[in-house]
Amino acid sequence: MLVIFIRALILYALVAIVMRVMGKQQIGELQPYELVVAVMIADLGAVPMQNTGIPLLAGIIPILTLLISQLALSYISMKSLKGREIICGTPTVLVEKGKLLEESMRKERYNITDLLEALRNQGYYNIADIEYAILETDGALSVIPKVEKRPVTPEDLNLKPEYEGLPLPVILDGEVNYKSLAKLGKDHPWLLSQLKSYNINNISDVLLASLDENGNLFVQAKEDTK
Amino acid sequence: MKDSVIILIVLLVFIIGLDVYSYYYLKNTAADISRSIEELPETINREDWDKAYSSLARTTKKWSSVKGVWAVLINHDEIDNIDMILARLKSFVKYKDVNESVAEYREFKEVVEHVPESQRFSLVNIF
Repeated sequence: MLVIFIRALILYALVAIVMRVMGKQQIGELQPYELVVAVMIADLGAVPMQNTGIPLLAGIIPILTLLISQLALSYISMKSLKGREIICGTPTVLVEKGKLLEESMRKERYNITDLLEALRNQGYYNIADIEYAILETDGALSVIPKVEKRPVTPEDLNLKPEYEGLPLPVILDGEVNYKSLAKLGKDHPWLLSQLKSYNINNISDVLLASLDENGNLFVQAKEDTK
Repeated sequence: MKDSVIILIVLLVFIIGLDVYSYYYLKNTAADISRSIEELPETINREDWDKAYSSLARTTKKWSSVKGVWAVLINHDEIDNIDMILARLKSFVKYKDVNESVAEYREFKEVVEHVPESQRFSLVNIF
């Protein structure tokens, strides 16, 4: 029983590390070759986990092999354009200048229902509003609406909004993130003085505080200290 | 948060407890079975076939009484294997084949004693 327990722990740690090394792509949108790796790793980890008759190495080696191949393929697809085309494929234009391209849709075996569904998912309910729709290599659909149907931007209205920058969390769960604080050019005493205006005397009472580049502070205290 | 820590500890204690219990159960019952058949080669060598057969019947009875619990704890292939060896051993004793009986006896003892060893919490078994 404990043997299986420890084996499961080891394989879990290994698969978690491997997935982490493979990069963030593995968790979100997968390229075809990455999907294959994710599915195979799941199976390779599961079998030796429960079957003590199989040496643990028989599960570990193939998982590491897949990791190596995946890293090699992503290296090739990063370095060579041709390699990327072969490994990941190329995006396909499904709608061009408001017209459905039947031939491309047939080639990708993408039917009209799929297209309408993907468009609706992105908030376009009328196919007449679409100028371009492109099927990306990871299977996601990118949509460019017709000019008169796209959302208004401040530029269209001749507005010049103030620069916002990136708001950074400076206190998370009662702990100061000195890195973000220094990045925004503030220090600990400044933070304490700001917290006083929110009636908070102790940093550990803060659930979240975030600061943007204009110096606006957002503070929320922990519930039990109120 | 507190709940999940409690669940975690309870599960850990359960798994460790079950492991220790099952290992000692398998070890004791395997030793029992192995002891009950120990005099078999001697009786076979003396060609005292009736006594050999009755001692084998005793072992079969003992094995049948623990088989159900073993099936919960170990791989069923091992149980089938022990069943098969026991059936062969009985047949060799019945037809009074000295060499085959003694060889089959050695195999039976080896396989039964190996079972708790294969369930032991050790580096060899983990890797």
